[in-house]
Amino acid sequence: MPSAPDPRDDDALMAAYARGDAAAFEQLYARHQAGLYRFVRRLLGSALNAQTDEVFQDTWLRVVHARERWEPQGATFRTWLYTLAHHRVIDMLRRSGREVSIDAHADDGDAPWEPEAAAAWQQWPAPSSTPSHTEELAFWRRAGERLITCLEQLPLPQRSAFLLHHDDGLALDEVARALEVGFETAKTRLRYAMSKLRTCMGAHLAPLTDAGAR
Amino acid sequence: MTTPHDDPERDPWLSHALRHAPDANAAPSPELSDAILRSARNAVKQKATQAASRPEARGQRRWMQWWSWLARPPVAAGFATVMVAVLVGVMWIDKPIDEALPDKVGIPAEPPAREAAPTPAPAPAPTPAPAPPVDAVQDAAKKAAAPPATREPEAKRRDATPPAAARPAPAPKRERGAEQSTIAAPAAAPTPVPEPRAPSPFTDNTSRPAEQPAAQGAAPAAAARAPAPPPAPAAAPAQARDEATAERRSTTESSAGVLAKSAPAPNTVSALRAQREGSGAAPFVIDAPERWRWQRGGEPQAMTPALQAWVDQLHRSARWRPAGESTPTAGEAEVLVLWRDGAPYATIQIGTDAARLTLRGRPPLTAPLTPTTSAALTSSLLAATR
Repeated sequence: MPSAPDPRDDDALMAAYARGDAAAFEQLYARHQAGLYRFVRRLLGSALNAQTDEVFQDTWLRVVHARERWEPQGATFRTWLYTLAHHRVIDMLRRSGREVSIDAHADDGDAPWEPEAAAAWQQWPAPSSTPSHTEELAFWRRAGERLITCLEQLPLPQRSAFLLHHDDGLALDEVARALEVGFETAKTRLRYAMSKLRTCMGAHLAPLTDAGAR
Repeated sequence: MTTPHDDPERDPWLSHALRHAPDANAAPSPELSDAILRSARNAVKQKATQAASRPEARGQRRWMQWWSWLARPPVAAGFATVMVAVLVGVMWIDKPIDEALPDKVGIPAEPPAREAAPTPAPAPAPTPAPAPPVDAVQDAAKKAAAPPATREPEAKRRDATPPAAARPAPAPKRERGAEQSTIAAPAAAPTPVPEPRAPSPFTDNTSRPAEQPAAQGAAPAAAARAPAPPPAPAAAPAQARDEATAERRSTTESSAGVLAKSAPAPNTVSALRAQREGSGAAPFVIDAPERWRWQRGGEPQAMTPALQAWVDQLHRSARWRPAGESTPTAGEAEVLVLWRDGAPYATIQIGTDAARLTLRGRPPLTAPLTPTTSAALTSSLLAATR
């Protein structure tokens, strides 16, 4: 997970770029290009991976063109940047003919799924920064592959909420601001997303968990 | 803002799995990054280029905005009005107002006075006027006594200031009347040839431009004696206007107020007529007959219309000028003393070749007379005082 940059620094850099400092933009780009690229790629999914570069470039060009209008009105530069990317992804999905659900809970039940005490995923090896051995590393790589697959099954609002919160490290209020929804809405979307992902991940990784436990 | 309690904790297993996802290290290609950064730099360069030419573009834009604002009908109408006013003001700058006013000479100011002439004044003036003609004559004498070098700037000053401003404290009504008379004056004035005149104390205030053509006939002898150089042609209209204004003022003042103004007395009208007909300046005017008496040898007697007519005839016939002690009236003269307000005011001597007039407190005046004129005046005087 990329480290969260100082928002004040981002704002200062963006203000400098708005005044004509091209080097400031290069710093901003260096800070956020990897996280934004992943966010766009995972939102688009495997079916639209080819459009990742287009959406990514379009997002940054919008930053360039909107530099003189940009004002840090409560939102940080990073929040604004992800908002632009989210809009571009929605546009791309609509252009590709995919149905983008506005209501994130259209096919959800009354309440999000909560993990049980004996859920299989809780038997996974404890996450650590450095896997202790090769089998564990292989487990997490497989878990990562599975997670990407599970992400593609989530509705876009839940997917974007989960990615912004877990991958890009935004706080929940920043997630709400980036997605231009209320705080409770963002919170609900995040809970649904985590519930579904746990279910999806636990159901598929249980056999491996047993192997890993040995 | 969220509190740590509101912000749900990140699932460590899901986050760990996310970090080990196959696309965890995905990044834009260097070509893509170069393209984005190049676009960003170009945008900044374009901005700098635009900033270099911004003042010109900004000025052009402001000009277009101003032009479009001016093209609005209300604004355009107001602007056109202002422009016309400025144009007219520039055209009339340094020009007297009377010349700039529309030509009103088609409606002469004299006819009402002339029509009123035959009708006698029905009522006397309610209050006696404090001898305004004397003031006018004194002013005229002061101006005449001034050297020519000082008179010319004075005329220019009068041109620069409206006639009403030069008066001590004229009533608005009288001022309007005076202006009306001054409007008509320039049109009747023969402006091209200013005639040098004798330095009479009355010509400056009481003579009118209209009398100049007639005065030209009697001018040669007077011009030869005139110490003052002829006024400049450009100053002639202004001087004529000023003289007409002064004449009107003295006329209105001497007619004892509004009543006399609305119905001028015959002597006043006749005096004006005499002046307009070019018979010379009237040193005095019999403004209110009831205040005047005449005396020829015996007791003073009440003023009569016949004697008033004779005074008018005298004014028409004589061109008064200061009389030195060395110009006595030749021959046997008829003497007439006119009383005003119970005191002798004017002494008139009609000789065979000249007339002599002595006003109270003023230097004597004389006017050359032809024998025929002298005889006519003498006979008329005898008939009026019989």
